Amino acid sequence: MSGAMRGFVAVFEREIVERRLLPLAALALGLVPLAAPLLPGLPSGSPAEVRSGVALGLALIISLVLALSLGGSVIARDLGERRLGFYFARPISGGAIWAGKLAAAAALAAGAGALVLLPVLLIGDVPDPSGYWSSFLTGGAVLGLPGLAIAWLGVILLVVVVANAAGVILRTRSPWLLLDLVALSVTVAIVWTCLEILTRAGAGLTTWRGVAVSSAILRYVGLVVYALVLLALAAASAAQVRRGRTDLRRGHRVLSIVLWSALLPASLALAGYTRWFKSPSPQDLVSIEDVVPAPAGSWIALYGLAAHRGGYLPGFLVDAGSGRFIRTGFGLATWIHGQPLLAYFSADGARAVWLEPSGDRTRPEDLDLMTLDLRRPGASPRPVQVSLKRSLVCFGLSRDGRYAAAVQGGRLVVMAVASGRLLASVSLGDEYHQQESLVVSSSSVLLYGLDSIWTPQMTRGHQVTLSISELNLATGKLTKAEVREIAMGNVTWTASPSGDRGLLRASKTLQLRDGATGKLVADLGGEGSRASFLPDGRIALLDRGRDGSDLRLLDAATGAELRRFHFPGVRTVLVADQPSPNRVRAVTRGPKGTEPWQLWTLDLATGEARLGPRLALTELPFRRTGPWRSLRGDGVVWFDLWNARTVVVLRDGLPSA
Amino acid sequence: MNPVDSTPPVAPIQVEGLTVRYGARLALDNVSFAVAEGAVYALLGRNGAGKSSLVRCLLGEQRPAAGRVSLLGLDVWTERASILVNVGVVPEDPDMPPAMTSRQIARFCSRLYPSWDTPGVEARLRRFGVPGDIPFGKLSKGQKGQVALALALASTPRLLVLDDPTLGLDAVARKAVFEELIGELADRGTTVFITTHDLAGAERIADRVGVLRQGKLVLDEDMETLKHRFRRLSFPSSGKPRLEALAPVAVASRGWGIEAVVANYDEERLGVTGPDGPEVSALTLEEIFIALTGEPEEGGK
Amino acid sequence: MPPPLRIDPRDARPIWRQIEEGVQHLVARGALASGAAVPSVRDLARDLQVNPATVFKAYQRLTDAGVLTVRRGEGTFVAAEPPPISDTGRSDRLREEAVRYASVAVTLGASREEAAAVLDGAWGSLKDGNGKAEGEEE
Repeated sequence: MSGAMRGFVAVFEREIVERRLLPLAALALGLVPLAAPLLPGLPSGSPAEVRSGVALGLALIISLVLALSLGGSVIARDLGERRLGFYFARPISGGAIWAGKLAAAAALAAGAGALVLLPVLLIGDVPDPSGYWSSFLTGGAVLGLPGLAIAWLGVILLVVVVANAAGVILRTRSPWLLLDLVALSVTVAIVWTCLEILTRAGAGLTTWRGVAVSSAILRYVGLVVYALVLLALAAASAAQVRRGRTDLRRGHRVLSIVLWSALLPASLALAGYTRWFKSPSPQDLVSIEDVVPAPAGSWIALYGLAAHRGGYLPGFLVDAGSGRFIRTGFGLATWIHGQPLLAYFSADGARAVWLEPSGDRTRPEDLDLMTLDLRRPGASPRPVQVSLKRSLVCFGLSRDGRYAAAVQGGRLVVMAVASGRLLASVSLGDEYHQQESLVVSSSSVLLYGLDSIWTPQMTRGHQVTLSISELNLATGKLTKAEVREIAMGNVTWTASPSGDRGLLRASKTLQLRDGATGKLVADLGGEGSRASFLPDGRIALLDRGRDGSDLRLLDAATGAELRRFHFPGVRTVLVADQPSPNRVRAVTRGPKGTEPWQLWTLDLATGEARLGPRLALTELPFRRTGPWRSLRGDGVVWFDLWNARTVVVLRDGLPSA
Repeated sequence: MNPVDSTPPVAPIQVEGLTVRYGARLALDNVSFAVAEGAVYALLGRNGAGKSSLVRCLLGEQRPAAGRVSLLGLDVWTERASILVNVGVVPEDPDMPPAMTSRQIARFCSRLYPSWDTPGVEARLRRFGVPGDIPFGKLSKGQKGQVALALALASTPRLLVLDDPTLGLDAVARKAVFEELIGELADRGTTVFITTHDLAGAERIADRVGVLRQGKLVLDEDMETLKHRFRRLSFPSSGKPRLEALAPVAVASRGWGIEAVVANYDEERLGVTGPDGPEVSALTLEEIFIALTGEPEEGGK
Repeated sequence: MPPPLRIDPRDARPIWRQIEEGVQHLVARGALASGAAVPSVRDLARDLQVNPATVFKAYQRLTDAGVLTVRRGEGTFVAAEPPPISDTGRSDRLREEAVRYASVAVTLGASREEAAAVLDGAWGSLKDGNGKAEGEEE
């Protein structure tokens, strides 16, 4: 045994032996829970549960109290009473004195807790702490007795070193105490702020498709903060004993210098990490969870998993043309029907509106309405306080971006975006729909609900119900309509921008229906037909044939064909946007699906289709991790799994043909 | 012809330029001295002269602002733990854990030293009359000191550091302590560094003396030469004697004449002897100490 | 039996010399007979409460002077034929004490003759009481 080891063991043993009555007292105290079921006023439960519960509670309390009192006195009292010289006058290194004493304090505290538990363990009442302790220590995972023991040992170690440092500092009563207080408050303030920022940024509770699955980053940060504090305190008190030796004042000075010169830079490092954590760019996203394009212009809202940040899911508004982006807190707000709530754009693409958790810590469930003028470079999001909460189930923005509506708590609420003023709030009764969407205008709000009993295993037709509720904003009157239909496969409902028409799509049918009554207007096609509303309300329908694809332009009022564009040898035609009423931009790709993207400009008035240049599009890693370098290019393209379609957003001012 | 004069290569205690500051106050001011192998060095000083600081630095408990202390050839601040295997320490205020009995303390200490004399501890405690199974905190002051000495001697040290081991002890206990110390010196020739207020005791066993005054080492000399050069001169007449050559340290006018203490007595230089000359007497260590440090020492004999 | 040696801190002589001369006088007076054992260094040091090195030095000098002899393994003894006190040491001491006596006599205003007479008387009484003193010490 080396000299240092011999000294450590001697000191450790002596400190234990001097307090040999403590374990005996703990063992005696352990007998109390055996009688606990006989005591009145305790929570009900089986006798075994009561015994083990009381024993566990007592054990934790005893060990905590001992960790505090022994940690605070084992070195500090000897120093204060000038008795540390007993050790220092002998061939024991300062490190061995420090380690022996603190290890003895921790061992006594932990051992006493274990001894309190021993009697109930002996009679077979094994406490199951997972019943009482769950989220607070592990952030979700349920903690068994071994897990609790390890976590508790960590707590005891920390309490011992904290109490030791406090004991030394308080016993000195020197002016250095002031410096300690200042340094402590600065450190605590920085760490607290960082943890709060991280929590608010979503590092605390990561949601994955609406379910909180992990608090990874905050847990790691918490563990690192714990480890740093423990190490800094241990190093500081070791230095205090090794360099300050029997001199309390000198020891205090050494302790403070080592402690704060470790903790202050560490807390600044945490601040730096927090700053870095909070400021990812869209390029840092390794997997994009959802993208929403603006109806016009090149802005998109996207949201995904950031690299090296645990499960952190930041949201961005990105101009796919210029690469300019704005960090937002959407995605943290809420999830609706399994989809994150991203941004909503006005029809002209000039205004983005979204919801973010309120900055007010006292209203953690409240959401703020954020608006951003996208046409003004340098504009920053403006929050407006509204009465929306995380529990909302549907949200919609009017085409002019001035009105917003939401379904929340069984009510349909309408508000002015600029002021947040509530314009209407009507009860919807017990209505609940599997899919809901809103079309908002200055005069009315349309709420569409779609319900079906379809599951992917079903091969037969099933009943689909489309419910339409219309709120007249002038009268405040709510009228309802409902249509039923037998359909095959998954069914979706897409309303036109103004809400006068809608497309009901099933696996084998595509129907044009009236937006207010739900009545059938026209059957547009069968299997494989894809259709969408252009911003001006006309319908773009894509038919894929053997020799290429046809893009048909339909009148939404009747479903009659207005124009047809044939693309021979083309497999994919995507309508990008409609820069002017009679001009539509589309991109195509050859039959293999690997050819370069090609730009087309379609003149709706003349039926002329002009081939533009090849396009360099950035493919977004939608719901899969993949490389993507830059948003600089002719635009972005991604396959939207939610709606099973490929979406393209082009930058303005592409050279036309 | 002093047997300790044969200087060994490394002095067991070597103090060089030791300076200790508490804020602006100088507790030790550039103190240097050495203690040779086998020597008994007595450090004297009034309370607050810096003895405690010096002992703390000597044992590596305190780091000096400047200067260096070597014990047994090694730097005591950096090598404290390994040096102290060979050093027995009796602290001024015995600081053993109050709840432990002397026997338990002895058992604790025995594990820390390679050569531990267990029968020796028992024998000494018996000679002192200290019960081995009473908690240390319940022993009298004298008994505590005796336990500390018994433990210090049990490690068969090469060097003993005794910080006022007889402070507060009655005459019998003091004699017992000195007897043990003398026995140790006779048996093992241990080097001893002792600070004490017991000047009569120190006078008989120390062969070198240091005197601290206000943090400065004002004297560091062999006992024999020290006693040889100090004399008290009593002049019967009130005529002004010529003492400059004898380095007077204190001259007092009494009713019957002049009394002077000189630090460099020399019969020939004094010149006058016989009936006209002064009465010359030697001084005890205590008298020399008082002459050097100004006022009577409290707690002294 | 420990010989009646005393250490006087007010004595100008170093302790080792006080021991040396004390032993010498005890031998000269016959209080320590030839061949008698003297106390060990350790015992004498403890008795006198002095540093053993000091006693050792005195014994060494006495051995060198032939007053004491060391027998290996047995101890230290008074020599069979101890030499008388050395001339220089003896005359120095005599002169020293004479000066002290003379100065006392002068201080008291005694004449030289009176002082000499008192010295004679004292000499006589000392010689008479010598045997008795030895008897008392037994």
